[in-house]
Amino acid sequence: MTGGISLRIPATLESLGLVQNFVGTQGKLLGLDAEMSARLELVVEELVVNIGRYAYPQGGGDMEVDCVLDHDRKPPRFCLILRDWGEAFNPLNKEAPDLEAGLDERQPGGLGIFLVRELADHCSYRRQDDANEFRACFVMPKG
Amino acid sequence: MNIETRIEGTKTLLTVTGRMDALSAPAFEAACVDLLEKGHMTLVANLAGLEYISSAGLRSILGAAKKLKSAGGSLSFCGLCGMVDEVFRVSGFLKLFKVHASLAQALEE
Repeated sequence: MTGGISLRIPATLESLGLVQNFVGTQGKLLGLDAEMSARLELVVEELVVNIGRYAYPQGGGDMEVDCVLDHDRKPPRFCLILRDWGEAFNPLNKEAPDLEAGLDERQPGGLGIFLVRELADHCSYRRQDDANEFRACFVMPKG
Repeated sequence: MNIETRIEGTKTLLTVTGRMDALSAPAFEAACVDLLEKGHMTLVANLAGLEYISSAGLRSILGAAKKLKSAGGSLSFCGLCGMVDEVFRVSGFLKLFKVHASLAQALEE
């Protein structure tokens, strides 16, 4: 694993810019290309918004952001890890939106986590020591 | 995010540039609703200069489109590229909305 620096910050929308800067810098250092960086940016936003909405519905909690390069996998994976100490919430249990619905029937919710699952290559969740830990991994291009 | 509005014949063109994220996205729906209230029914959004969109952006677009449709108007798009195009495709928005191949075509049709 490469990485090791983590960011702990209040889980609010106002933190989003700082988290994006942190993850963007780590992504560059660890060798992400432009296309993966754009996907990563979206994944970060959706997950930060979700923590604020579901883990801390009353506000007032922290989240921790980590970026690591997992060399044990072949090819290696870039993983974004988000931790919070709010209410237990597994985003992977959320139902996918109905993509076939017409404009009148189409509901606005559920797209955030759906996009995370589509744009990241591997997602996992675990609840450990009163913390939610969500991991979104991207397979690094060869070469 | 920046939105410039211009009347093109019977259509109203919104040129959207920058980033449509959780902080900026509500401004898109607000701009469309404002135009609708002023009687602009046929809106075309040119997204060629939009670098980034998240689910908050999709939500804002969906909200605007629903309001326009129920008032008898419409919202269509052109200039989709890069991650914006990918997010539209993955979310099923390419099937949900009229997406023109080019700005010229959007204004002609």
